[in-house]
Amino acid sequence: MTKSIPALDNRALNYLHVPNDLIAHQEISDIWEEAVCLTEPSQWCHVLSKEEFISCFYPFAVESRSVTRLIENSRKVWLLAASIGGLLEARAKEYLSRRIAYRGFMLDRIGSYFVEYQVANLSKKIDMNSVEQGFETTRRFSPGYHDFSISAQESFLNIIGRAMKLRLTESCIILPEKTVTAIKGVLIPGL
Amino acid sequence: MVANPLYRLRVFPINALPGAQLVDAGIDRIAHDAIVKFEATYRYYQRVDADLLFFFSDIAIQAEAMGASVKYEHNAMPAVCATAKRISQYSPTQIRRMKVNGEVLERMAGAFPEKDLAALVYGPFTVGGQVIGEQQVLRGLIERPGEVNEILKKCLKVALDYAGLLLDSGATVLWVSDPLAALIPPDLFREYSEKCLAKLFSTYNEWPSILHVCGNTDQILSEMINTGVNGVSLDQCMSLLAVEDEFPENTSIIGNLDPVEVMEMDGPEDVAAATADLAAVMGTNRNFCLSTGCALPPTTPIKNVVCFVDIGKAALAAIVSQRELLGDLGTEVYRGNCEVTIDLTRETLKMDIPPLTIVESSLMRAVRKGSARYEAKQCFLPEILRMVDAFYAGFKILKPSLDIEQRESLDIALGTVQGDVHEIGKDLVRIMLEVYGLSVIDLGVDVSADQFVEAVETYGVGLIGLSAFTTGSRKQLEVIIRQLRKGANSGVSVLVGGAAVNAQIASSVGADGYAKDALGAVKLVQGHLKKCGNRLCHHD
Repeated sequence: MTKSIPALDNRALNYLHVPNDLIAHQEISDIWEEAVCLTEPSQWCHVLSKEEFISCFYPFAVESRSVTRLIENSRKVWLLAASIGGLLEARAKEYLSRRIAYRGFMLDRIGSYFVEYQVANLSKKIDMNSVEQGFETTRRFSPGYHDFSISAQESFLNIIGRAMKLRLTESCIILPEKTVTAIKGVLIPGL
Repeated sequence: MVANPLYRLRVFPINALPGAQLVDAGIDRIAHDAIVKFEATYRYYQRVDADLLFFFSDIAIQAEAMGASVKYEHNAMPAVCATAKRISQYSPTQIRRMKVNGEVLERMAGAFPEKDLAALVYGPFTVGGQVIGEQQVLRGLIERPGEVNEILKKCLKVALDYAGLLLDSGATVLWVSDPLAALIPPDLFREYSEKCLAKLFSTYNEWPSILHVCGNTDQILSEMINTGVNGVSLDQCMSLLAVEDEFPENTSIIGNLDPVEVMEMDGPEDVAAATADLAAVMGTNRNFCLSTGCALPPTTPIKNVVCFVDIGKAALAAIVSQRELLGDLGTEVYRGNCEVTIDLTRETLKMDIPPLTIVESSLMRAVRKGSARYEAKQCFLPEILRMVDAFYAGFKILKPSLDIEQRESLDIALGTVQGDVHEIGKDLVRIMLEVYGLSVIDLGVDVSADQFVEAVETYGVGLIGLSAFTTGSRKQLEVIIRQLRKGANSGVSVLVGGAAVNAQIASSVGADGYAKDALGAVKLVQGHLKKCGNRLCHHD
């Protein structure tokens, strides 16, 4: 299966702040290739009724004013998760521990770019499907932002189950680190 | 390539005011008496082997000639105390104090025939501010530009005449100081100050010229260079490394040891260290003159000035013969080119250049230059990290030849706080601290308060760096800091950083400092160590 990986285009180069010289551009192609090899993309999404969502994410959903506001005109809530696996971040850490700073840092940045790309694509797919069915969606929102507790990751993992290879630390950080979870409301038409 | 007419000047402090300590007379008398003033400068330069000599100049002289009132005191430099009621213009030969300075220069030319002598005059813009009031001039640029132009014309005339008198008296370099000009934006500098300065330098273009503007001149640096001057002297607040690339090949970059914090307040050992450091870093630039960031105060210990000049000359001499090679190596590290760095490092070692000189003047210089440009928002972190990689590529080759003292004490213990497993940011801080020669123990991620306390007790480290990336881990900062400061460890200093923290949070959790990134962390740690060493600090 072909991996869904973004292209190393100007947008990516800008995001990475690649120094503007020939050697740096050659190097980044090489690091990018390494990142592609180390990426194991996986995605997951699931839709719940608003009531189910509030129940599954109790008490974090009701305690968060941001989440309450986000889904106040929604009757369904999508749950999204995307990950690129743990190989890339392990390699980045290994480089940094060997004081290979640029490669380690850039690999980490590329990992962030990849996972953001995965989740953005997933979000876009949900948007398009919703539009086809005559619904609009809210923006996506992740645990750890504003008052949406990071502990909500536990609820996420309970629902994701074995669909993705993820685990949770005691302080509710999802591992591998290059994983993004988010919620997205489906708006009631006319509201 | 046009030769740099200031090539003879390698080391000099600005002005000769500490000479006041060497005569039995107050500054008020020195300012008026040619014999006493000459004696002060003569005795001063007998001790201080500078390459450019000054005649004990004061900033009030041109404004006084135009009618401003000047206050003279035994222990303080003459200063304008009231603006001119009516602007007068006399020929400098009619102004007694100007004649005194001319006479002093004539005597100095006889006493130090081999040395260059500075004709120090003040820029028309600064003098205009003294004559009618600084606020009046600055407001006038917007509200009454025509009026300001008329005043500047008169100030320029006095400056031209006075410079002519000093150059005719034996001065060999025209030096113009224009401190007020640092307060105006580039477009107004071009319109008002630059035009006057360019006129001064073009009128006396047979003499090499230097322009000094105090304070931060980042915004007007290219305009200063465009005046046609041969050298620009920069204030101590400027990073020479960050701006050196703006200087054309034939223009000297002059500066910039702190005249007060280092030269006046520190002892000779610290002056020597700061001088050697500045010379090692800037010495590979062929247009560099080692100087002070501004005039030395009259109370600067003369032994500090002697130390500055002697150490500076020796440090530059150690570099000058291999300047090309060291410069090339530094350039490749700066470009982040590891392969060429390795080749050139091997080549420099073969040339019998001391390995420590290679580290300081090439490898470290490049990283410091990158850091300075990063701080000035001229580049991004990846550029610095490529330099760091090249630094290590070269350092690995030099390490066996370096007589590195095994340090028993650690500078700092670092860790990501309990509940947080983010490692990259903390690792970057560790790498940057190590590049800057600091000794670090990395406690890893998910580090508990007990583990930090244990590190303090085991390693005797007085400085702890906490990294927190998630909002949840932010709460841990307070817990850890509270526990760290309990009992015998109450003097432990704690610095914090990471995506979950800002300066406000740092202060609210009781941290001693906050850095927003790895390079900020280096500055923060260096500053803290300068203040407290790696001992426990007393919290006020």
